[in-house]
Amino acid sequence: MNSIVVFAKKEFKTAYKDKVFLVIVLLFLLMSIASVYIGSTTKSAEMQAYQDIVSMAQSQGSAIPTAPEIYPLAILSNIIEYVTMIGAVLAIFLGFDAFSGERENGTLRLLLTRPFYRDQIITGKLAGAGMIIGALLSATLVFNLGLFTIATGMIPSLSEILRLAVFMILAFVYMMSFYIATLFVSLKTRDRAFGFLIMMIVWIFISFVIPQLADTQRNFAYALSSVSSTVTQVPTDTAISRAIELFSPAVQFKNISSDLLQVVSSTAFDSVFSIIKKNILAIVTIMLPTVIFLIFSYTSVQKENVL
Amino acid sequence: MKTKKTIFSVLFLLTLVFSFMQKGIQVFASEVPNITTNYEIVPGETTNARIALENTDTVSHAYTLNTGQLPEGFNGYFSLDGNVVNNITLDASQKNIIDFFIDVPLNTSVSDMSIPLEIIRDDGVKESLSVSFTLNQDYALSISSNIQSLKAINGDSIVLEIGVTNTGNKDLTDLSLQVDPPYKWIVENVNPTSLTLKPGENSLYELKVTIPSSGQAGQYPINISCTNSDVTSNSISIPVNVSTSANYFWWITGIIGVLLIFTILYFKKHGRR
Amino acid sequence: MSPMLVVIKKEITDALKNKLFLIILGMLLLLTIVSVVLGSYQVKVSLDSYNQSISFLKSLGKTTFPAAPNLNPLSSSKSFVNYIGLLGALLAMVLGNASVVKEKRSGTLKLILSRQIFRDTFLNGKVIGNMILLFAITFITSIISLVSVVVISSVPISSGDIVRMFLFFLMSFLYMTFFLVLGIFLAVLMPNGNKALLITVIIWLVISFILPQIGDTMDMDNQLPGGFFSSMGMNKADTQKVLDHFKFYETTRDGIEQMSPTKHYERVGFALLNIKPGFEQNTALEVLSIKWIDVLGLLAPSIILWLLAYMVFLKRENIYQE
Repeated sequence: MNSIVVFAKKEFKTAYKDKVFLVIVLLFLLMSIASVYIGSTTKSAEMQAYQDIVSMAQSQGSAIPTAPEIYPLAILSNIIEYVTMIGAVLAIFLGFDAFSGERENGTLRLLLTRPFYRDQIITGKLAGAGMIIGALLSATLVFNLGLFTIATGMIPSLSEILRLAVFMILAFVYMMSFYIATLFVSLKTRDRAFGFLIMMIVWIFISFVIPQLADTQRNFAYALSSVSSTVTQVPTDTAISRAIELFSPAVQFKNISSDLLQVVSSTAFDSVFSIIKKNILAIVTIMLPTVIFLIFSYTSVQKENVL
Repeated sequence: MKTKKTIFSVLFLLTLVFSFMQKGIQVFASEVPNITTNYEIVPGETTNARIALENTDTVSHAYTLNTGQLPEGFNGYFSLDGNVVNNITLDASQKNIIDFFIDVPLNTSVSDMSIPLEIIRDDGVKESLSVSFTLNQDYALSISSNIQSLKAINGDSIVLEIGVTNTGNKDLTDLSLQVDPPYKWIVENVNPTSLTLKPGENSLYELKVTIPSSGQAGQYPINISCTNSDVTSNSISIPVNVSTSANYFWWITGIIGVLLIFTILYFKKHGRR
Repeated sequence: MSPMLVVIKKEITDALKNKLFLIILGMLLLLTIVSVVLGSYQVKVSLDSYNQSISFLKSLGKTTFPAAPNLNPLSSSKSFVNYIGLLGALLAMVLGNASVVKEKRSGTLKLILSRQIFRDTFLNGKVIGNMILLFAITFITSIISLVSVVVISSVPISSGDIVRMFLFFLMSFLYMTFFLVLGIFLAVLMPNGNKALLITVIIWLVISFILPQIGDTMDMDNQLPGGFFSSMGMNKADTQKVLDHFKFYETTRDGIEQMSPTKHYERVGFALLNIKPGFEQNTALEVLSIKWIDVLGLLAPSIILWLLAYMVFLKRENIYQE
């Protein structure tokens, strides 16, 4: 156990000495702060616009439209995009030279001469990365809650805090899945840059290409708004589009997060347990590659050619 | 005769929906065996007649509803409970009210017309009637503009002159311009806000629209019409070609030019190696 | 043979031996084919969906209907804009970074700089060699797209459409050139090649995702499906009165979007491909003259970075140390 703690501490300290990594962490924190600010400003603008509409309707003597449904946690919803984009890239940054960097610097051989089991190295690195990502997400959670209270003047209820906490746990699992995949690639590749770029390509596919391919298979029905007599296009899922999306943990993460952060009005007041139950397949889709790469990493590190 | 009688009897309610008169005119109904009915129609408006259809037979029947040839630009259709229908099924002794809508084009030379309607039962029995329409030219309005297209820059305001003419036989009061600009464009001013025109009289609206500075370059249409409670004019569309301000070009070129000069001087100072 | 030509030739042969470059290129070509095939299929599907919606509207008694979807054969290349924005940019960054870093690591940079070749000539050779490669890639993908659109969608394609398509691929080339020059500039600026690559990727993330995302988030009408204003039952006149209060907000939002070459590429690309309405009557060159700010938004950053790379490469003494 001590060796795992040693490795974890080393990973933690090394990461926070890396300027590039610090830049990304700062970017992540800034974007999450900005997203709360932008989200609350936009919602305030919508409420102000609604008040203008009500005054106009009252002066014209016409019917007052119902207020837009604005759910408190939806103000934080942009963070879903930032976790999918920046959070995943941050995890890749953490992991891409976990082994290949040690190999290039010659420290891997040194490590393996010490009385550690090889799997302890993997576990230590995972623990270290988990601490880094966990610290970052905890800081984000605290920041967001504080900013949310300041920006909206509302104190989140217990169920809202629970939803936010579950979202952060899910974000942790999502980011760790990228870290573990990158760790495995780092074990297998000799060149750090090559490993990094391979993971960037994987990230691009999971986060953008697969969702876009799924989008092309949706039906775009025209929806008639009975209030304004306007026609807008509303995409509806087909079996093919849903099947394609199963290959993208990013889409599954976004779907569950949208339910948790009250982006979807139909689940805005459901319990956390029912949301998890509804999205159990999506959770499995996120966890499955994580578990597979974890097993592969543990088996690969035992081989001779890891040096 | 008996067959005809047992099959169905068509009761025609005289319900006039005159949208060119005042709204909320009293709707009245009468069972009139006379199958010729006359309606007033207004250019650019939609009128509907209500037809009561009753199946007096002892079994249910399906009925096909047809209209005859309409003049050019006119559109006629049957509607039941808000749905466009061409067929209706009635159970024995069931009665239903069907709307017959007629869309009148804004510009038409037709003043009187008679539209044959035909109702064919599933066993081939037909019933026909003619509905007469008289065009009411009391209220008619037309707008125009000499502008084929406009050029403007982002952030600018443009002024348009719209000519309006009362082409009807009666005075038109409280005429206002309805402007449908592209998204995020602001209608700053319409002068005058309200107009009154005698028959044959024309006037001019001055319209000021501001293009947002954040708007992208491209061609955008401004759709305009004129209306009051009695009539709506034709709609005109004025395309506006929006381009980005040339200032951006000079600024960016300037920066590149300065940097180029700086690079040359840098090479001169440190020597090319 | 001129030293610059030698460098150009070497760049091209080195890139064709680069495993990563070939992987990304293969994916880009595959995605091009897949996106054009799916895009052509989608054109047919959207027409069927539109006709069904018209019947629905008619059944409600409506007589005014939305305009028919654009049966524009060029719109089948719409996804390509996104793939260039992602994979094309990554390809260019890999090329740019590798062209300098591999020379440093293998020690050939020291050797080349000891020869009779000016540093700026050497840099020009690198940039031009890689630009030729990128041009060849976009040309091949444009031919593949054109053939796929003609054969698969069976929609007639005019000479004007062909010119638009080629100009669109030219814009794609300019967009990738920006990332190429960015990759070269940062590889020249920073002593550590890996760090240079990471910074390049971060800048790409900011330009391609974060800035456009902020711009979209700040657009109120994007916040609710179908649009905020139409969900309020507002007509255009009422919407304009409300928007009048938010002019500064709108200017800030637009300023953020203007800083992103990705946004410029998207705008000029969509105008050329007739995905953005309002350009159907214009010729391809007219579209470019209307959208000149977006073309400049692609060209100007590349030129600025190229000049800065000259200055850095000229001055640095330890340029060959990794």
